[in-house]
Amino acid sequence: MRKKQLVHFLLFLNFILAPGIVQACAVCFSGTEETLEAFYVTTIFLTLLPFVMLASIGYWLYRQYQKVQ
Amino acid sequence: MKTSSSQSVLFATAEVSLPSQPKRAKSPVSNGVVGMLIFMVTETMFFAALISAYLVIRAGLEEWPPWGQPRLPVETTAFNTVVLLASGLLMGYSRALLQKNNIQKGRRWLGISILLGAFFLISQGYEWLQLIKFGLTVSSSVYGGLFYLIIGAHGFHVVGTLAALIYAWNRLGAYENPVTPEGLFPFQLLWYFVVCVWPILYVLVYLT
Repeated sequence: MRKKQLVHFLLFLNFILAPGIVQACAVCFSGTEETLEAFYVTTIFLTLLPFVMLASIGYWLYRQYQKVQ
Repeated sequence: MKTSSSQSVLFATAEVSLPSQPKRAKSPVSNGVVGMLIFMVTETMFFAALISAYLVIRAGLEEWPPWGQPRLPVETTAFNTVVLLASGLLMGYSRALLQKNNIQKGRRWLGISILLGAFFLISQGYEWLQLIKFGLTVSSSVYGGLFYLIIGAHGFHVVGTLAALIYAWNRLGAYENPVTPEGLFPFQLLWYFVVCVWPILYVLVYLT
C-alpha cells in the first residue's frame, strides 16, 4: 500500500516539477487566447456542420418529392 | 375437335390474365445522386477537419508564415482558381445541354470542362515543384506540412473526379453500355463539390 502511495506521490511531483510532460498532449501545444478561441470556433463548426448538411439534403429531397406529387 | 380435360385446364390457365400491378412512381432523385450527396457530406467533414486543424495550429503560432519559409504563389493560384471556377460553370452548361438531349454538344463542353480541370491540376503540380525547389517541403515546417496536406488532399480529389469524368465522357453516347446524362450527374455533382471547396482553401491557405 505504501509503495502505491509513493508511486502516486512521485507522479504528482513529476507533473508539478516537469510541466513539459503535461504539455505533451496533442492539443496542449499552446495556451494562448487565440488557440482557445480557435478551439471554441472549430468545435462549434464541426458540431453544427453535419446537422446543417443533413438537414439541407433532407429538405431538398422532401421538396423534390413534393414537386412530383 | 375433342380436347382432353388436362388440355382444357391448360387453355383456361393461359387465358387468365393477371391483375395489372400498380406502377411504382418514378423517384425524382436517383440512387446515384443520393449516394453521392451522402459521400459529399463525408468529404465536407474531411475538409472541415483539415481546416479546423489548420486554424488551431495557426492560432498557436506567433508568426505565420514562419520565418524563412517561401511565400506561396498567390497570383498564379488566383489564375488557376478562375480556371477551375470556369470549369465548374462549363460543367453546369454541359449539364443543361445534356438534359435537353443535346448529347454531342453537351459532350463537347464536358470535354472542355475536363480540360480546364486538367490544366488546373498540371499548373498546381508545377507550382508544387517550384515550392519544393525553394525549400518548402512536408518536413520543412508545420507550415509546409499543412500546406501539402490540405492542398494535396484537394488535388487528390481533383485527380479522382477527373478520372471518373473522363471515363464518363468516353462512354457518353457510346453504342454499347453508354453513360446516360442521369448516370453522369453524380460525377458532375462531385466536380461541383471539388470546385466549390477550392476558393475556401485558397482564401484560407494562400490569402490569410
